[in-house]
Amino acid sequence: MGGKSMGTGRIRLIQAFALLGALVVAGELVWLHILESDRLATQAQDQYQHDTQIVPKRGSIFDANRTLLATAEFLDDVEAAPNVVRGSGTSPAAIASELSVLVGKPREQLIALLDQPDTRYAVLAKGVTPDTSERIKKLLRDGKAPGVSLKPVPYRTYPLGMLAAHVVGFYSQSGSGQYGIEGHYEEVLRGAPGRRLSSSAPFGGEAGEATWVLQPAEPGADLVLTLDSTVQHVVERELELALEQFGASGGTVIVMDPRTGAIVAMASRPTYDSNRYQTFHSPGRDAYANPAISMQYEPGSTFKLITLAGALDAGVITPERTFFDSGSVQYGGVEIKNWDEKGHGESDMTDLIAHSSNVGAVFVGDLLGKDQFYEYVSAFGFGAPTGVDLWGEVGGDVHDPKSPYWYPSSLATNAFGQGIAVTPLQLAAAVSALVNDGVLMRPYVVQEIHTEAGIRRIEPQAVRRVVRKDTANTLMSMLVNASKRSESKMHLIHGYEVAGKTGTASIPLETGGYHEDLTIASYVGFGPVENPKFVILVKIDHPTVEPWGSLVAAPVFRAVAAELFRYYHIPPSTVQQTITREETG
Amino acid sequence: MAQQETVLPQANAGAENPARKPWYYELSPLVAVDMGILALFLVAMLYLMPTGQVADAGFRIQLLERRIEQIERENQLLRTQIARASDLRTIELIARQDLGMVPARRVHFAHVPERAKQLELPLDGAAEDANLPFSTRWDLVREQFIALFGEELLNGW
Repeated sequence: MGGKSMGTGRIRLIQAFALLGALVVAGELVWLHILESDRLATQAQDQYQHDTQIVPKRGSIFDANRTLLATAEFLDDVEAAPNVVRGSGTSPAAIASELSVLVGKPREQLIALLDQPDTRYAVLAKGVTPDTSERIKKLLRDGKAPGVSLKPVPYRTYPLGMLAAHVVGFYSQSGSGQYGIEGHYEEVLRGAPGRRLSSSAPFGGEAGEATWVLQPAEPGADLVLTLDSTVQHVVERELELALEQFGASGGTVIVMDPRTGAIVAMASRPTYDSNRYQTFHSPGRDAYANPAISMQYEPGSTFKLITLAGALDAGVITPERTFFDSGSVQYGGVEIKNWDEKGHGESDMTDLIAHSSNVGAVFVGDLLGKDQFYEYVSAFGFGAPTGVDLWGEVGGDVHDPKSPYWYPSSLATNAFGQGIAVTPLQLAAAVSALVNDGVLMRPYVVQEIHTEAGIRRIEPQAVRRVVRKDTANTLMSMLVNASKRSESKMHLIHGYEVAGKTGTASIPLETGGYHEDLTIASYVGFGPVENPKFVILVKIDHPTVEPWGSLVAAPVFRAVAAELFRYYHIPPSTVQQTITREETG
Repeated sequence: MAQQETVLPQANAGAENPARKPWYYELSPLVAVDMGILALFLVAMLYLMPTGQVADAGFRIQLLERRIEQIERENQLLRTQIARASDLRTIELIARQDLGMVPARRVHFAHVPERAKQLELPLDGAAEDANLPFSTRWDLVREQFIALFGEELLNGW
């Protein structure tokens, strides 16, 4: 009996210990997981977790055919932990020798970065190419570069380089879009940052890379432009050829859909490469500003279309109205001469366009009167930004009779496009309004905004009616007839009917007066006449071989228009006329 | 008294004997303690096992998310390479210099009103033309082929 009770006592003692142990474990579980849970979790998080910001993916930019113009490309930064390098047994010099050629940096520079025993972080190279990245990964696998690592970082890249650089803009080192679409749509492209919790285990390993997304980043919207990269390429090619051929310092070409205001191409020279915009920085000159919207010029004779449109619409002239073109005229105390200093005798309004008569423009401006003239100028959108969705648009310079800079002679000079400053886009939009039955459309570049929520389409927006439909049609007919009467045939395209107006503008000097030699040669036209698909404005700055718009700018119009007819499969005007005849019986 | 106890009504035959204690009263304290420990162990396991599974699943998810990110980056890289390769400046240079190609200076158009009406083709639109069904395009090509070489040659294929 005594032995049995002793055995039972031992068992109970062991059971008591086991029970106690279980209670302790249970109690500890309750303590750790329930009572102290929050405090300990916070303490643990502070020790091994880091709350970091997730940089949102910046939206991409596509042309109308979904060709990529700008995107975020993940490239590797080459980083190093110099304190780890020191403890690795491999010398900084040996690592630098391996990396020097790959990252394209001098060996000594890399040694200086790696040989910093107290430093835990150094960037050896930024944004290396995928090929270089692969080679460095091989070095890392072979153990030849201890302490070195690769970190994927999103870099803004522009696959087509210089193409449409003024329209696209660039993403600056300061972390925001600048100029063009990048600048104007910064808020839309940027997206919203998210939050990420990343953990680092004390012994490293895979847990060291564990992350939890607390709040996902909201990616920036993708933008689809109205720009067509094929047309843009044609325009840029022809512009460059013209600059070279005529020894010009720069130029601008705009192709616009007159019915909608959509900008199909917009190119200027000199330009830059958005991928390495810093290298194009030029002291004393804004190398990135888009000349099509940010630089104003005196348009010269192309502006006569606006004067004539106003006068026709106000009913002060008809196409048959005549005047005597003596070659020069006195107005407001100033003598105004024709560009060729020749008189053309009795002329009608179509002759005025065909001969680009300054005397005729002064005559029409005077008939219209200063109040109505500037009302029409304002209605066509001159003197104010067009509202195009591009960064840095200016409004031009129009001095109406209320301005202290307006003189009685201003009406005369403004009537043929001197003493008034416009942007190329303003003029293209104004001529588009004439082609579009008198309705001015807001020029635009972005046609779709793609977000996670869906696609937002930007609809064409009519600004206002500037002249009556019959006025616009009458002027277009006059322009077509004037193009046939004109001595210059440089704009004509075999089989197609096109029309337009030349301009050869003098360049004002800051000291007053005009430059004696330099001009701005321009041409603004449309085609095909029977159903205009596009308006093309060509502006060539300071051509040195020839000064005239008819010889310098009109051939660019012809070359671009001919390509566009082929590209858009537009049949020749003769075919169109045959079809119309057959359809109307 | 004893007789009275033996003649209980039949209806109460299935009733529990009030004198009998529940089964767990009959367990020895040792077994009860063992069962308590086991129960605690099971509770602890029930808590720890799903926690471990969740952690494991979370780790797998992270691995997959990282893989997705990597694939998306590679995809983006390929898109960029495609865009670079489609640079018309380069293509035109290759076409002109390497392949000796020249721009088409004139495109000939043939107006076939009856056929256009039959197919309800737009007469002047490239954009609409791009939306034509393949069979319709093929019909046009086929007709041109027959006109040039005759139907026999086509049937021979």
